[in-house]
Amino acid sequence: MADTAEPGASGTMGHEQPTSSERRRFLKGGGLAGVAALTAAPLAQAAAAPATATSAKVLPRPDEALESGPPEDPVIQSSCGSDYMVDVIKSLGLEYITTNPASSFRGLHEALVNYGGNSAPELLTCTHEEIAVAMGHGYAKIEGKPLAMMVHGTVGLQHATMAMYNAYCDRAPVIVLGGNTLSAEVRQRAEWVHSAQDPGAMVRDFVKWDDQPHSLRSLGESMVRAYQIAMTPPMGPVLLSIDTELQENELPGDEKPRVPKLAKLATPQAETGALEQVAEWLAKAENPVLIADRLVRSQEGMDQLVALAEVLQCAVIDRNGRTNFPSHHPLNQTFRSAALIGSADVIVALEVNDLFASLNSAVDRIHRRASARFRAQAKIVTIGAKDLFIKANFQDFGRFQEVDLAIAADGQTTLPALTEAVRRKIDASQRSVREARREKLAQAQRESLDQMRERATIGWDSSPITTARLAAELWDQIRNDDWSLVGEGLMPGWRRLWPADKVYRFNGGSGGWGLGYFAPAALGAALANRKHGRLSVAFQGDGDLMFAPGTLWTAAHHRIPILYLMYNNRAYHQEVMYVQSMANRMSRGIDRAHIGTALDAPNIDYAMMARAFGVHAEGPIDNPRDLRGALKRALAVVRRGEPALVDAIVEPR
Amino acid sequence: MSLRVRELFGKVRVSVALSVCVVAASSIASVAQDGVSGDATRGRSLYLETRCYYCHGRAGQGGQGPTLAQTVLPYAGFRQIVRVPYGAMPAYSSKVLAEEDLLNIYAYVKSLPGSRPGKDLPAILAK
Repeated sequence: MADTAEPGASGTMGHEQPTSSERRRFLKGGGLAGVAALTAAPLAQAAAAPATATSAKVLPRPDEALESGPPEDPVIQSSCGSDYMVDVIKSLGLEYITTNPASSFRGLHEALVNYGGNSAPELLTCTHEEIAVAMGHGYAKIEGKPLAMMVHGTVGLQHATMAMYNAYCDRAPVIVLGGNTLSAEVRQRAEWVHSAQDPGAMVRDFVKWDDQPHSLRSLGESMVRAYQIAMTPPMGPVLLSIDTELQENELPGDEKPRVPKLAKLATPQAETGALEQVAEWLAKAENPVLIADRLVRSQEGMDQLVALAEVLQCAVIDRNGRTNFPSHHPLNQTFRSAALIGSADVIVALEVNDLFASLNSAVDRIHRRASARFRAQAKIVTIGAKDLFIKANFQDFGRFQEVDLAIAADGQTTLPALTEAVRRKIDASQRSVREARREKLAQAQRESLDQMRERATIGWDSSPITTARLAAELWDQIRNDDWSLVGEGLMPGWRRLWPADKVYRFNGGSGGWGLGYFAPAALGAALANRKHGRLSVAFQGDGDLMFAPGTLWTAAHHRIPILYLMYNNRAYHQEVMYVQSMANRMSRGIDRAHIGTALDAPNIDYAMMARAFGVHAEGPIDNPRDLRGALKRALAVVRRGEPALVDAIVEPR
Repeated sequence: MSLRVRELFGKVRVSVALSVCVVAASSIASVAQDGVSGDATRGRSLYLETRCYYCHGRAGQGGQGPTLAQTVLPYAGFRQIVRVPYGAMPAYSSKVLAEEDLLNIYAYVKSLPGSRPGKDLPAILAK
């Protein structure tokens, strides 16, 4: 949030008196000694001279020094707290800091680009704090570590809140650094409305931790602590409020505090006895089912889940909070989860946040009701970090689900031990039974994929373009690339036809279902993919893009290669259906359901918008036969390292 | 999504007997039987006007809702789902969608071309 400077607000206080705090700083800085230095040498030389313990650290203005006697308003200093902050940030291995520039972190901003060399971390300019945080969210899910973002006082933090909530719900680590001016004595004009006694209060319900250190030493410690907390399962956002005076003032005694050591983090594994019990149930089950949601955060984790499933030869339902399990693996049975849950005798839910929604069917009618899909005698187990950290106010934890065994532990960390326990308990003589189970599941998957391919042909040449054709045309052109689907607003789930065999093939949804996530989070994920040479593509909803269109400028400015393929249905179609439901409930008809939900009249020209931001663009395209050429041209741009957008006019769903 | 349709059919099978009884007792019993035909051309207009395509696609290909092209649902089952839908579909009472209009819509979706068989898939859909 850039400042809106008031006329005359820039520069010095002019006729106003220095505050007592400013006087203290001047005196601490050796102001009188500075007078002697200035009179003996030109200002530039004095500024370039190395500082000593007794030399001037702050220098007065020449006019005041020469004409007004002892200076009281120094303009140069030789050290600042922000340099130390940069040292700490670099020690954390943060590659980027996303930001929208502002006064409350101007000291840190300057230190990052000059003292820090604008490298590791590199500053990325964003046009909205929601973009800055969402980029970190998307980045973290691909790279497995956080970004930091600088947000401006009260206003920038409020802009950032929606994206922070998404990250919180999605268990994604982001480190938010908020500028704040703690001392009322030094605040000027807009700093009053941009400052807060307790900025963390705004977001405390959906961050894992927040702090507002009052000294550089404690700031260093809090920054390292913040990183560790963000990266400890369940991962999530943290906020560090950084005082402007700490950033800008000289180092006390001209010495930086020591940079605290970042510990190697070990994540919690399940209790051994509990794992033995789960293994016992799984080994003896006739129809065991594994459900995974925000489980896997590395390829190792995906491989471990495959190992567990193959020991059991059991069905896996991937709720796709991450790409937990290869989509075309014979045991991936996500496409018929309801039926499998209905026949399961043991269900193990791995990092599933809303298990109730997985195990029960809900009907959104006048009388809201839910009914169990699972058998009453089925054993249900949860393994996840959710129970290690739950807050009260926001209800993202979902409805309480009765289970037989709730294991509070990190799911991925626990997988190897669980797999070994199952191996020890499984009956080797029943191998053929398990092989038969696998073949049955594999057959169901083959048939389902064949049916899906056939169904994709309905309306193949129709206009607007079907969602199936849209997905098929893109897949045909990236199938030989090391692709990564970094955003998916394509509701009917045609990506299932794409064989997702790596953890980075798809990086899940927003968590909080807050719009304005997909475009910037996809860009953050593409940023992470860039150094790995992966091809990042995203199905981009029109409604979502309109929350954060400036994302496109950041993509162009920082040359982040990504293809945004617009899923442009010119409406908020989920909401269309809701209004229809309400209208029909009242027997009023649905003729007016488009009011307040349509994004037309005028239609938005996303290609023109993208070009305005410096992004290569094609479209709008409503004839499916024109897609191939447009995608080919756009992908050529992306493959050479630039962003591109193809605006496709697509069926509502 | 065809499996989703199957799941839906499971519900329909349960409810078909009931709906047939309901239909038989209603004033439109004469049209609520398989084999009767509606006006597919008129049905197309109604399909678009009543925004069926929002969830089922202009070609009846499905999307948020199940595939309707070449539906194998009998009219009674189709009617039951429209009037008292399962899941997220809005309920279309006879006050907002007349029986005759519903029959025409049914005729239209029955007339829509279905999917191509596996041997005729477009090349880019091949495995």
